[in-house]
Amino acid sequence: MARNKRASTDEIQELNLTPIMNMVVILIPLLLLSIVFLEVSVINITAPKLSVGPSQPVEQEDPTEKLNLTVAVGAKGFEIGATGAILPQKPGCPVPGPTICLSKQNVDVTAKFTRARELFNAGNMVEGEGVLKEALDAYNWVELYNTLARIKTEYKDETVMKISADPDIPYAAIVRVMDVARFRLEKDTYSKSSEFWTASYKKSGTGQEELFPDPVLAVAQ
Amino acid sequence: MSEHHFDEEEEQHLLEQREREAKREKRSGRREEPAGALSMNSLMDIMTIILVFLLKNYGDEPIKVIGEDLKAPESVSELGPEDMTTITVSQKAILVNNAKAVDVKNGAVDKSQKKGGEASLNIQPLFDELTEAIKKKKRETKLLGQTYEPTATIIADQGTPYRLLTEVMYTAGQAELSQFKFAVVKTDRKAFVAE
Repeated sequence: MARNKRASTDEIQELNLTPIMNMVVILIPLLLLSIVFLEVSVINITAPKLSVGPSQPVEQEDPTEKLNLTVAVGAKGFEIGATGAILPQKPGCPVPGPTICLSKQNVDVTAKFTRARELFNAGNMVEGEGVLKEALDAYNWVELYNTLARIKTEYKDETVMKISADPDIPYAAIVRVMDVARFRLEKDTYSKSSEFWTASYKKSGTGQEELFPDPVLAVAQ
Repeated sequence: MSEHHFDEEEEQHLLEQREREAKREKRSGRREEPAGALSMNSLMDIMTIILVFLLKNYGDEPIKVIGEDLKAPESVSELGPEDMTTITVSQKAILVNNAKAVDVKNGAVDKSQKKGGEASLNIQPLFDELTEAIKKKKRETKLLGQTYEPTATIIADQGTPYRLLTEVMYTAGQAELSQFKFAVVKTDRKAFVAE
């Protein structure tokens, strides 16, 4: 017994870490749960010029030079127009229809968008997102890129693209259009969707070669 | 003679004694750490590092793009977010700098909230809230000696209909905001491949 006592007094007094440990063990899972491992980025948008009347002075630019490229997203596909004219239809599309029709003609995207919204409202984020993705996959993004790349080759100085959409087209589709139109890829035309999405950007100098990186949103009427 | 030492009874006794000793030692705190035992110190170090890392990350995100009724769409944009006036359009409400401005139901604002009927694009409560927020922001920038920029970050749910989005932007335009930044979740192009 005597030996025991002496041994304990000789020992260097150690800090009792148990309560700190307890706290740390609780704090770590708490912080881990609250953290979202997502990177946020932004897209610069110019506001739609839709104030009634000519409140803003018209930009001093040669009207003949201005391309005024407009991409309208609809339930049937994309309608691409420039300076008053609408591009001819892509072969294989139903005749009264948009410039670039859906790549999956049998998909009813409107119904899918509505369904996705219903699922979101019901709090079912995962399933809703799946339906939304299905609907977005029906669009012909590859052909949209091909067309835009072709236009860009002709009008090298244009960077502005107007985006318009049907009133119930979801925000995700608009953002996707901006993504497709931002940079030029390695090739100017793609035929397969998988090839298109895995392609990397074409380098020019220090950055990427631009396509139409300045989207302007137009109002849905 | 060794056989005598290890008969059953004695062995039992020895084991019991050892157990008692171990118990006693445990009770009186670890006195003599046997060599090779796990040291608490290194574990403590790891925990501290993780804790500091997590705490640092915790307050890092200037804007929240994901929540119970909100998920920003995915995009490959590479511009970083900045701290500024935010307009959040979730599935259930529109918020200005995290203060609720107006309710959203089925992807639309109730028409009674709009100035000038259903066809109008002006969401009145949002406009009021925005003007207030901008006034505050202007004061802030003036005090800090910076120049005020009429920009706002819009964080919208991926399912937000285009109509509501334009209404929000129109209202913001009325409140003298002319540049917008859409907050998105950064992703890779490969994530868009259709199955």
